[in-house]
Amino acid sequence: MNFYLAAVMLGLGFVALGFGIFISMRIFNIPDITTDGSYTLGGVVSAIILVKYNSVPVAITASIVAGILSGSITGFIHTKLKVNALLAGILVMTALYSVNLSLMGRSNIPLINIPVIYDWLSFIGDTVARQLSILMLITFCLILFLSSLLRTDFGIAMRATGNSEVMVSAMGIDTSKMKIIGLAISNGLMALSGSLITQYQGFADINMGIGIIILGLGSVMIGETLMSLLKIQSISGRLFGVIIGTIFFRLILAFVLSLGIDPNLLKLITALIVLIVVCLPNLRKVSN
Amino acid sequence: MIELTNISKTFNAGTPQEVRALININLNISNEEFIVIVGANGSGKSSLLNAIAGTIIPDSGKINIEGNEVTDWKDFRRSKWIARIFQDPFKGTASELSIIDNFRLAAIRTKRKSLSIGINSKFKEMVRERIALLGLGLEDKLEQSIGTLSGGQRQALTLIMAVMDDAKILLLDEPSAALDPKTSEIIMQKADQIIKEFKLTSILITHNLKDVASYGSRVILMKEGTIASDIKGEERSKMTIKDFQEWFL
Ligand SMILES: Nc1ncnc2c1ncn2[C@@H]1O[C@H](COP(=O)(O)OP(=O)(O)OP(=O)(O)O)[C@@H](O)[C@H]1O
Ligand SMILES: [Mg+2]
Repeated sequence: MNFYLAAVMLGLGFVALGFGIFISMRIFNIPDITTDGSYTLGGVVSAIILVKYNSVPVAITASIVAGILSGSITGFIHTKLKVNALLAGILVMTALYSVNLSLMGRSNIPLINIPVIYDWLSFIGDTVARQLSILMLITFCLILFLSSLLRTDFGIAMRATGNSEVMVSAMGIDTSKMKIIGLAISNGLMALSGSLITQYQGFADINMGIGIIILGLGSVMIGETLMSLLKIQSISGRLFGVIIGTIFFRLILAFVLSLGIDPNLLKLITALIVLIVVCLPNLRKVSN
Repeated sequence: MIELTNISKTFNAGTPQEVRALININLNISNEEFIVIVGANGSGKSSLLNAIAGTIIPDSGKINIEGNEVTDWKDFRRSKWIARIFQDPFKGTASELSIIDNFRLAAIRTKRKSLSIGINSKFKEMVRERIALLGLGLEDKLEQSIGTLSGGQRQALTLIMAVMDDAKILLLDEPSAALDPKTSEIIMQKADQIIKEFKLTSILITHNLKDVASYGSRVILMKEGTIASDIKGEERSKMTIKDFQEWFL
C-alpha cells in the first residue's frame, strides 16, 4: 500500500486523540497527561472484547467508557483532592499501566482473523478504500458531535471554564464538575483512538501509548498554528485544524522515515518536530 | 434580604502571616438598599463582599440571603441571586470567548446550562439592542472575542451582563478603579441607572470619595476587619464629600 496513504489513515485514527488533547489542553487549559494510559486502555479493552466476544460495537463502547472513567478519576483527584493536574495525570497514567497489564495478562494481544470495524461497509470491495471510508466517516461524526456540543449552552460553559474561573463561578457554574466532565470526554476520545488504532494495526500492546501525548499535542499545535495563520477562530474551524494537524504530522513522520532514518529514532524525531512547532511562533517574534 | 451574623474570617490562622480579615461582623441589608463601603487598604472590604458571594467561607457566623441559610453554599450556587462586577475587568468576562458567548452565559446565570444551542438570531438581536444602548459601537462586534476590547468597554459590558438574567443582588468591588476618570464616571452612572431600573440590592466598594458622596443610600466605613461606622437614612443624605474626607484624616 502507498506509504503516504497509510500515513493519512493512521492520522485519521489519531484524530480522536487530537480532539481529546484539544479539549483538555486548549478548551480547559489543563495539562492532562493521563493520555498515555487511557489511549492504551482503549486499545486493550477493545482487543480483549474483540477476542472474547467478537463484537465491534461492544468493544468500542467499552473502550470509550473505560476512557471516560479514567478521565473522571484524574478529574476527581485534581479538583476534589486538590492535587496538581500534572501530578493527577501522572498518577492515573502510572496506575493504568498496571491495570492494562493485568487486564491483558501479557504484554500483547494480537487480533488474528477477528472481524474489526474496518470489515464493515463490506460492499466496498477494495480494502484500502473501505478502511479510508470508515475512518473518514468516524472523523466526520466526531467533528459534527464536538462542534455541536461546544456551541450549546453547556459547551459555552465548558469553554469559559478554561478561560476565566472567577467569571464562570459567578455565572453559576460548578467548575470542579465541569473539569471532571471535560477530562472524562477528553479521555473517552483518547481511548476511542486507542481502539481504532488497535483494530487498524491488528494488535494491542502494553507500550502502544508511550509518548502518544506528544504526538497528539504536536498535531493540535500544528493545526492551531495553521488556523491562526488563516485567521480562523470558529470552533468548527479549530476542530478542523486538529484533523489537518494530525494528518500532517503523520505525513511528516512518514516522510522522515522514507529518508531511511532508523525507526528507533521515531520518538526522538517526534519530540523534535513538536519542539520546532512550539518554538516557531517565538522564533518569528524574535526575528521581527 | 441579606443578613450577616457574627461573621469572622482569619487567613493563614496560626502562622506568622495570620490576618484577621473580618471580626464579628453583623450586618443587615434590606431590599433595594444601595450600600457603599469605604475603608483603608486591607480593612476587609473585599473579604466582606466575598463572604456574601461565597468565594470565601467564613470561619464562624451565619449568612442568610432571602431567607435561606447559605453559610456553606459555594459561590456558584449563590449566583442565582448575585451578580458581580470585579475590579479587574478581565475577571468578569471570559477573554477568549466572543461577546455573544459571554452574554449567553450571563443570560443563563441562574439556569441550567443545557445541551441545546441558545444563541439564535432572536437572542443575538436582543443582545445587540441592549449593547447599543451603551453607545460604544460594540453592537456590531458580537462575534469578536471579548479579550480584544479595552478594560472600560469590558466593564461596561459586564454591567449589562449582570442584568441579562434575574438578579436581586449586585456586588461591585471597585468597578471603575482600573479605568480612566471619564470612563470611570460613565461606568458609575450606568451602574447606578441599572441598580435603580432593576431595583437591585447593591454593595459598592470604592476609594473614590466623590462616588461615595454621589451614590448609595447607606455608607459603611470599615477598619481592621470591623464596621467602624454605618450611616443611613436622613443622616446619610445630609453628609457631604467633606464629611467623608474627615473619615480618612
Ligand atoms: N485569600 C487571602 N489569603 C490571605 N490573606 C488574605 C486573602 N484575602 C485577603 N487577605 C488579607 O485580608 C485582609 C483584608 O483584605 P481585603 O482584600 O478584604 O481588603 P480590602 O479592604 O478589600 O483592601 P483593598 O482596598 O486594598 O482592596 C488583608 O490584610 C489581606 O492581605
Ligand atoms: Mg479589595
